[in-house]
Amino acid sequence: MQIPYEVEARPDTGLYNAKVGIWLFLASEVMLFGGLFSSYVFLRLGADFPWPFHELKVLPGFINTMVLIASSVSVVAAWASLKARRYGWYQVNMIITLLCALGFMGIKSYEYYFKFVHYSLKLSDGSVVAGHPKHVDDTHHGDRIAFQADRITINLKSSNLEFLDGLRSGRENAPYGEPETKELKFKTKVEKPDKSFISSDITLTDSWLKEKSEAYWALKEEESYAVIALETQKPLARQSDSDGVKADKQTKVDAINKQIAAVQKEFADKAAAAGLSETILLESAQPLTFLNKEKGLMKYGASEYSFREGTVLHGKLLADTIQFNVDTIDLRQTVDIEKSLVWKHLGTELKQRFMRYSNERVEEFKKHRPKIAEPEKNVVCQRDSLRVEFGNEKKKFMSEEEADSYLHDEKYMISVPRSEKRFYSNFSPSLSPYYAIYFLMTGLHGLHVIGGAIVLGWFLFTGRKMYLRNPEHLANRVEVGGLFWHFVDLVWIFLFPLYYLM
Amino acid sequence: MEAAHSTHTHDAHDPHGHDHGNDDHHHELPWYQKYLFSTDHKVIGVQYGISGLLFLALGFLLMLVMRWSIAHPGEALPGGLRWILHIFGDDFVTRWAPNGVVSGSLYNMFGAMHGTIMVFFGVVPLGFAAFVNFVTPLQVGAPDMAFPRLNMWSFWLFFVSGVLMVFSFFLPTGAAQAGWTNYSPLSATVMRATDAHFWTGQTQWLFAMVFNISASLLGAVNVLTTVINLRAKGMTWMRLPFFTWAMFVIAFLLLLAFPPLEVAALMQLSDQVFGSSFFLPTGLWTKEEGLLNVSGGGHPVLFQHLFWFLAHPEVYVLLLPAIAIVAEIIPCNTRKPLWGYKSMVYGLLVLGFLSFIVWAHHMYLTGMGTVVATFFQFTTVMISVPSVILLTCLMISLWGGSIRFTMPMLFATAFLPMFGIGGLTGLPLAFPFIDLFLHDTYYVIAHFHYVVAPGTLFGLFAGVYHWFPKVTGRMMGTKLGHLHFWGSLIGMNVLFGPMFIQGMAGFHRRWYDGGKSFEMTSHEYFWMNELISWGAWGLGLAQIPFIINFFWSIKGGKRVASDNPWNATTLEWNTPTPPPHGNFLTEPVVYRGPYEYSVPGAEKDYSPQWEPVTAAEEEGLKALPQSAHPWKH
Amino acid sequence: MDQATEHSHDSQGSHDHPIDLRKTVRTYLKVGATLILFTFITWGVAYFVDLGDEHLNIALGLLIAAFKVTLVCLIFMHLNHERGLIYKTLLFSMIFFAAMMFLFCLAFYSPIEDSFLKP
Repeated sequence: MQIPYEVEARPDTGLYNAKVGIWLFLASEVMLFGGLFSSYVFLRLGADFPWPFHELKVLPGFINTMVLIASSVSVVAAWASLKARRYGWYQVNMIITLLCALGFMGIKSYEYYFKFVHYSLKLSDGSVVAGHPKHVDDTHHGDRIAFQADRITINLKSSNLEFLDGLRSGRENAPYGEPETKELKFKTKVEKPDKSFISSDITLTDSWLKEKSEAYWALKEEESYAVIALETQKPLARQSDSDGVKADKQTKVDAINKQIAAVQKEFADKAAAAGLSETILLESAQPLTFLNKEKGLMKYGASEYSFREGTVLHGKLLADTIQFNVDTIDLRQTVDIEKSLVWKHLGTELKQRFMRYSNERVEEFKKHRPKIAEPEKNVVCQRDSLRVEFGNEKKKFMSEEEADSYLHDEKYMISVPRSEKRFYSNFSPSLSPYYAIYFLMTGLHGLHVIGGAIVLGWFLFTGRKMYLRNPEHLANRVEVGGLFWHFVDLVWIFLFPLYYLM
Repeated sequence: MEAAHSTHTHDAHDPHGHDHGNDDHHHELPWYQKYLFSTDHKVIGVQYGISGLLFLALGFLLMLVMRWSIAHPGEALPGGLRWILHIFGDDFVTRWAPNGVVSGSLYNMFGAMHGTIMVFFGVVPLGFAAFVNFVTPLQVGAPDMAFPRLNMWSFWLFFVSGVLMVFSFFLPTGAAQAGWTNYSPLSATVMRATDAHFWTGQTQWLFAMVFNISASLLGAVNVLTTVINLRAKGMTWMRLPFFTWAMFVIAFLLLLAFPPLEVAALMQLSDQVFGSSFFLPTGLWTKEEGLLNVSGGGHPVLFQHLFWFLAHPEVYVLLLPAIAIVAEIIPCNTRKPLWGYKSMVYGLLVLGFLSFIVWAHHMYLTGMGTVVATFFQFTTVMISVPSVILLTCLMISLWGGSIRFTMPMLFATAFLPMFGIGGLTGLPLAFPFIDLFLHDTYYVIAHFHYVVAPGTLFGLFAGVYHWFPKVTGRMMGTKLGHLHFWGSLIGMNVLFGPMFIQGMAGFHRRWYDGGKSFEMTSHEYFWMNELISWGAWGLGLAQIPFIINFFWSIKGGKRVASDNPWNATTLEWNTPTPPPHGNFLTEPVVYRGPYEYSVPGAEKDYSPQWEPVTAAEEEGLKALPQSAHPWKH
Repeated sequence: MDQATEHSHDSQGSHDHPIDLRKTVRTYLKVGATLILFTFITWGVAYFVDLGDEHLNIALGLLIAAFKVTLVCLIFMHLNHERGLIYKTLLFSMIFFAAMMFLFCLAFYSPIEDSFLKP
């Protein structure tokens, strides 16, 4: 039996299968984006930070709305062309749709890119500055922690030499240069159970680490089997003398414990003899300078620096300030502007410009909304007056030279000790729940655009054979694909005002 | 849109062409397309069924280890149980159960995975996916699902999610440990201090869930389209078997309730991978890291809202297949119509609708607003009405019937009281002031396990025994079946009954040592820890006859005498046994309602849907008073 | 294209009537133009219209968006003449969506607690 109603509609429902399917799918999509919109509202209502409205650049979103509307028209026109059996028009319209999809994704990635290279720094009193970390060479180094180490503790359980990236990025000052080309020579020290040390000279490489950790864990495993074998005798030892005295039982267990301790010591000796232990200390003849991002870091102090993966550097902290070219200052979360932490790091010119701009905005607000009694407490007024985007005074998008000079302009530079930092991140999902849901929703929407474009492209490039056989079948497919495409457009129509305008 | 592709299989033929006796060109399929990447709904149903059963077994084994830890805290696992840990490799044992003693982390891990595997990988695939795939197209008289290729994709997405979930045990961090509900911020912090960056068991859990949810969505679309558009001639909505009605409603629940969980999973994934703070509040502090280096400002409660928006309807996704199966088996084995078919269908629809607006009764303790708690208390009490309608109709269906205690019927009758206990003990939990006391105690565990284990699982076992002859052409053995049934019945009740008492005494569900290390525990109920565990071992033993029976009967069971061995009335018994590709030899036509047993005037005690109403039957029906017309729908 | 037009006499048993391409596409273009016009209006309203209250402004913006979405649904997605089944499906998903959003927000509303916390 053939599956019925693949092309023609079922009389009583009036629908062909794929159309039922797509509408059901869209119903579930309503719930998917419904969940996201509900989460947006929930997060916004419950936000304990000033909701960052009017922060996104409107123009790209605006253009993208146009682009999607145009593609919606063309995809429905493509379907109409098929219905009228005009294959040429169908092709033209489909190509327009796909170009629109491409344009949309292009603009989207442009938007994303500029967010990812833009950073925001929240100080411990709640004042926020945004901008770009100071550039040295081609990479931004303003946000690295500089640490000089002469001893390194490697953890054989988890170290993965990722910490060497920090050495690589600090190549200017590092004595060894790039670790891929130059050899990293160390003296290893392994502590024996009797507190004496075994030391040897090694060259630190991936294969050295791998070999050591495999050897160590092989030993460890052997030990644990020996121990388990003894441990399992314990319950038997407890049970065997139900008639005996309690102490008797205890001595048996103690004997087993002694055996276990002996096994453990034997293995510890064996490991030490092979130059193995869970942690190995590496001593370098010359001090090494690391410039690390804070990301992979567990904690650091004046003389110790530990990575999440388990490696610990010993030496001294060189610098941990964040050097920053400011383009935005946001003082909404501080009580007193002039006592805020960021104020003491700002240059005079920026301070003056901030105050001038801020006062202008308050006046403007009073003029527009004379009814509001305490404008300083109004969210909109605060947003306008306490958050100054210096980019807004200049052109929105800088030319390459301008950007270059801005990045090296001392006027915009502030230097914040890391102890005053509360949170530092680029404009990525981690910055705040607002950006998190912005990226999640637009990202998911973008995935829908890509998925829809792939399917429509498939219909365009492989549709001819089906069209010649049964044009109605192709028309149905395009209708179904088009319905999905319109839904994607429809979601964007809500996303645009919600994120860019409100 | 994928929907559109699914028509591909038939592209090679004239779409308006004649019926190819499909058999001829499907014989040439290579084995991997026939049994592995098959688009045939029956093969996919069996695939789901077998993977569901395997996952149920795995979830059960995890529970045995947990029960050992509760009953005998600090003692090494006996050899009979230790092999379970060795499934996951020897490294796993040294890492998580040093010297064979179950560690707290291992208990948490197994707790989280037991719940996840049982709910999302065991009961739903077996109860919903397997039965719906095998039975529903047959019951509506369709040659296959509406989108066969999509159906295959759905299974393989599910398979990938299962593989991901199981393989998370092998990660250095172990599998997820934050409970099957995976609440933030616990789930975000529990593995944060490990060296694995973000690739932890928690993350893999989320990835697996995203796959699982996508599979469910595809499956749900498929089932709904099949029921809506592929019903055979004469199969009106009110002639649909109750089983198919229930599956229809379940598919709707999955379709509309799963997306919010997908949202929640993606958000949590973003929290884990991109370091965002959807569910992390300001000022979050852990022992290992101090003040967390995250932006904060998110809401842990948001996750619970999104999670339970799915997970409450999910409860009905777990439960309804069992009711649906029992509703098929009871009329067939009492030889009388299902009592109150229509009210059951309407009850089902109301149940489905209400199940979307009761979710926050799982969250009374989160400190959400009082108004909203009152609202949810109200709807929760309301939803018990349709559930009771369903159960009552099934009970009344037994009244006055000449019951044949076949294997499926045994399980079906046991289902009724077991589900009744589970359902009724849930009622007190609907009230916030009682829930404050009982929340997260063994009382809750007992309540929902009574619903899902002796309730749903008995229904599913009944279904396996009932449709086994259609799938294989052979009956499952009765002797082993009885062993399985009585062992399970006793085991389940010893396992879950005492939990009510322990729960009311305040035993908390997350105590890995059964409460021994807590001074305030009611010591007089400790002995129940061991009793419950004995129930668990017993239940495990009782499944052995089932496994033997299942595999032995495939080749060695009694061959069925006809295509309709139970003398049932619904369309699936009108196909050859086992049904060939394309299912029906001639296009089925439906003439009557689904449960026309013992129709007055009929010559046999069942009148199948595919047989036209005879003159004698019409006479017989006319003679009855109008009020006694259960056959007239 | 020429080859394709041969198929224009609809012999495949389609239930839909062949459509007038020119007229239909003209409708679509008009709707598209309206949508673009209203995108400008949304943008203008957000920047130049101030109803005096932030919530009202948001409501206005969403209202315009809702109007645009309605247009897309009715014309592009043919919901102005669709089968009953589709409306039913969408009705349920809209109800559950609305319930979700409403109840999420309601969770913040707690008059008893507020009477303790607020002076």
